[in-house]
Amino acid sequence: MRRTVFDPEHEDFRGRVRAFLEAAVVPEYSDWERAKRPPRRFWQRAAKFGLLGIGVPAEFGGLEGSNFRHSAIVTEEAQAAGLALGGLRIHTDICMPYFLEYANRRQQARWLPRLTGGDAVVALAISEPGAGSDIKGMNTRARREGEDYLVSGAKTFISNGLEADLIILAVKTDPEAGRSGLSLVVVEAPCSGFARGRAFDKIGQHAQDLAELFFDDVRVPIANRLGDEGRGFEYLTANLAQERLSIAINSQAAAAATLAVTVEAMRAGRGEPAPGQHVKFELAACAAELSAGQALVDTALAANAGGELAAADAAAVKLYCTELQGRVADRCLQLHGPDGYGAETRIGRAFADARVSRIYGGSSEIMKVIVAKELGL
Amino acid sequence: MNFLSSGLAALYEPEHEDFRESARRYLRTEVLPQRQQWRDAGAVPRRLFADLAKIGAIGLAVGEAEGGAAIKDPRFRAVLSEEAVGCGLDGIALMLIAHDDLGVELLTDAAAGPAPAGALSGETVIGWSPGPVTAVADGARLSGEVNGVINGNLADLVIVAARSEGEPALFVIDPNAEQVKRRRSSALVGPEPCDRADFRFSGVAAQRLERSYAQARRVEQMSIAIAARAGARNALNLTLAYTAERRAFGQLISEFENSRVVLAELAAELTLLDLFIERCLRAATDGSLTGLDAAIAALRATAAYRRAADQGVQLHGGYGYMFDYEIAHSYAASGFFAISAGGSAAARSTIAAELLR
Repeated sequence: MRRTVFDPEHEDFRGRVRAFLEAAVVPEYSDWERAKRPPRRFWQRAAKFGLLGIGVPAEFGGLEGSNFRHSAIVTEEAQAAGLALGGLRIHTDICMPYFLEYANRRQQARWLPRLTGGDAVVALAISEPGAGSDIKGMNTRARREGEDYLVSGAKTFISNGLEADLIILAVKTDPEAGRSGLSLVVVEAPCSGFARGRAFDKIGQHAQDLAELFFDDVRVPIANRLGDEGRGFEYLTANLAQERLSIAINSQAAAAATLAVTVEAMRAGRGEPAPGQHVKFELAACAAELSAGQALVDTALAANAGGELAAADAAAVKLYCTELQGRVADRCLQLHGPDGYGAETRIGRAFADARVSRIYGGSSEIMKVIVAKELGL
Repeated sequence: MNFLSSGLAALYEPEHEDFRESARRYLRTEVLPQRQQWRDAGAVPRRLFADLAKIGAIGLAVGEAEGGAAIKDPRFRAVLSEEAVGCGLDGIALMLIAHDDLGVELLTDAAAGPAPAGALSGETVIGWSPGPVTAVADGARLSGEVNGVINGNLADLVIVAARSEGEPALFVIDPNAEQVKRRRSSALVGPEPCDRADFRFSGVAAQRLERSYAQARRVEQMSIAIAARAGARNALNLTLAYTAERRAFGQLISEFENSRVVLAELAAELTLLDLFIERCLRAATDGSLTGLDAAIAALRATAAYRRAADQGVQLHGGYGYMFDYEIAHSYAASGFFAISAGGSAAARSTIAAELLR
């Protein structure tokens, strides 16, 4: 079905992104998987292309006239090429809005040029060992000492954690105050008392840097706080709709690519027998579901562009598209046979990468809680 | 509680439980600690088979006359598979299935004679090709390619399926022959470690087996079903243990109604599956297992493993995606079981053919 959410200049951008990914990422993606993260060189090349400045004003090195839909295009093209570039989405879709919305002018002038220029990799550190999505269960503390906070605690499952130079860190500035005791500070690594754990050994997403971070009386200037003290929870939730839409776009595009690869593999070459009815029906069923998912994603993208994507709608889109990705990966794998299950084959990667989508960024269960609440239950 | 041990308890005699103890001890103390190292190296050492032979884990379905155990009893195999898969050694279970369930059994019978020299002591390793048939037989010579041969790098003998006058048939080849090129297969999503190799043949001498491709598929489906059933049970056990100790949002994961619904559904499915697997194992013991039942067992057991591992990962949350947690190994392995022995397509086609004969 024809998509109407993008303008002609978006489509022009799409073509250039595709060429960039083919040239700069596809040839070395397997090396990234072995290294368990993209090399620094990638961030610099992405910056040069403008990918790290999507949505950022030109005065800070941003990509002029760009918006979240440009980022959606990057995600879609990456998945179409069989690449899971989670770290890039963390940068543009997840972290950048905090600097744009809550950093003051002086902070912006200091950090944004580093971020758009590929000189600083960024991470958002919320999850803690044993707390997961449960923000109230967080234990990382920040206590004031003069002009600084002294930060102690541990964070886990932090994307870009091994490479990050700037870490947006959720801390408890007032442990007694519950949600209103939460604040966001920016840690500039390396610094004394800060340590990174090992890279996690995951089922998939092998090119994604994911790590534990440890803070032992790390001195963070109070001037590094984003926005007001005690409003961290509010800030974290304000961007959730776009974060979840970002995941949905990624899952939808991944599933579409999985179907495309499978159709290509099943299509009869010269002299080969045509695929049977079961194969055709499975692929047709996936295609129909993907059309529904795309319509949902595009409706949400349009709403987000108009600044009116509701939290519960974003949760529903995330729920639907990530579950769809799981179903499509499963059905397509069945059609490929053992050769398709290689860790470095398109289908093997798709199957392994897909599994985390229903968990990260709020699990399917959390999405259902949000949707149920919206239903008045 | 341990759901795994309760499932087929009625089927096993004291001698099976004795064997279970020694298999468990060996697998958990000698093999499991090496899992990560073998996975990183992409290779499994050869002595695994000789060590397994020493604890009586090889030759389990070969009669005494052929040099095997005193009685043909597939329950020993089931116990071995349960123990391997039950501690996250799914790949080792597949290697044993290839060598023993398929290799030794297919090469040992009245027509073929005793087991190949050294196969029962694990000094000769047999490889098995589970993949689609792409090799072609021209008389006693074989050409083509076969990927993902289990035990392929260690093997001294390899059984492959090849087309001969249209119908697939089974052949044994010498993997060291000049006309054979073999190389290590690329790594799987799971299960690892599992020794696999890709072969290219050009006119290699091949000995055709008496046993039919359909017979081999039946054995393979039954073995895959037994291992997948154990995998599903293991995934549920891991998840029961995790949800009973892990807290989120102020309560145990096991206290959420959703968790209880998911766990109850899995337990119901696996309990029914056990009844059918038990029937199949009894039939296999007296030689009356049908191709229809083996196909049904494979179809349902592999789907159950997929579901149990998938739901298990979900209830583990982010930790379930990390190999530090055993459920991640289950998940990675379950995808491979689902496409083994011809996958769901082969199973359904066998079932439909029986129904519509």
